[in-house]
Amino acid sequence: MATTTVEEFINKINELSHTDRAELLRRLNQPQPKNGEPKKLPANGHKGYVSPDTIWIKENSHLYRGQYVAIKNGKFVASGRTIKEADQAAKAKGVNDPLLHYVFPADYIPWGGW
Amino acid sequence: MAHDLTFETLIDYDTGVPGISINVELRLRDSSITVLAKVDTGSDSCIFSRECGERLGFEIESGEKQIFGTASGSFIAYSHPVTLVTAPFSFDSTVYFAHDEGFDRNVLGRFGWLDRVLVGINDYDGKLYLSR
Repeated sequence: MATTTVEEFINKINELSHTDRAELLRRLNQPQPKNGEPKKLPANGHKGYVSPDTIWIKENSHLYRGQYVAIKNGKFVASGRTIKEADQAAKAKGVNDPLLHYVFPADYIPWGGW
Repeated sequence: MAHDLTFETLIDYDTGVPGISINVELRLRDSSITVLAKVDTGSDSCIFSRECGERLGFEIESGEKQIFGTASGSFIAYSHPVTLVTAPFSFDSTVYFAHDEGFDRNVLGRFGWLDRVLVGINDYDGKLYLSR
């Protein structure tokens, strides 16, 4: 059986375009289904706090890539292309202070600064 | 054509040190910490050290994993919602806590902070003007 060394993998990754590299990173970061069932969120393990909004984001944000979502107490309120659109859509539903969260596009590696 | 902006708050910062750094308070339920963070219009998100998240009580790896690019490579961070307080302004926002314990910088970036405040900078005099 042919084997590929880590070095060979790295060389191939270095040859990828920016878009392909972003897609590779996205796939590597996707939860891996086990026995055909969706992967459950990791248990808290009583080590620290997990926000209901975080749970919603992990389970649903892939549906809103490139958009802002408005979330309140772990529940979806509204979405919009801009923060203003999402905020106003939430306000139209009577929710004034939602968590406004931007979901990065799948093929985009956000810039961490410096 | 002139454009006038009015700001509610003025924050003085030290122009004798690198970066434009201001105090930011992160709140989670009954916990809060105050740290110095650099205003960085080039950063897509607000990113804080792992220690900040742990001091607030988060289970860091339970957040959504995100890879960030930099000029010299990449790093991993996890998103968590907090209440961000800068000067008199507070709002709920998603910030990222670095996976690596050696990551010791705090940054106020675009999504989560710049997209919900009005900022004016006079770097010559070390003055940052802020409004919501």
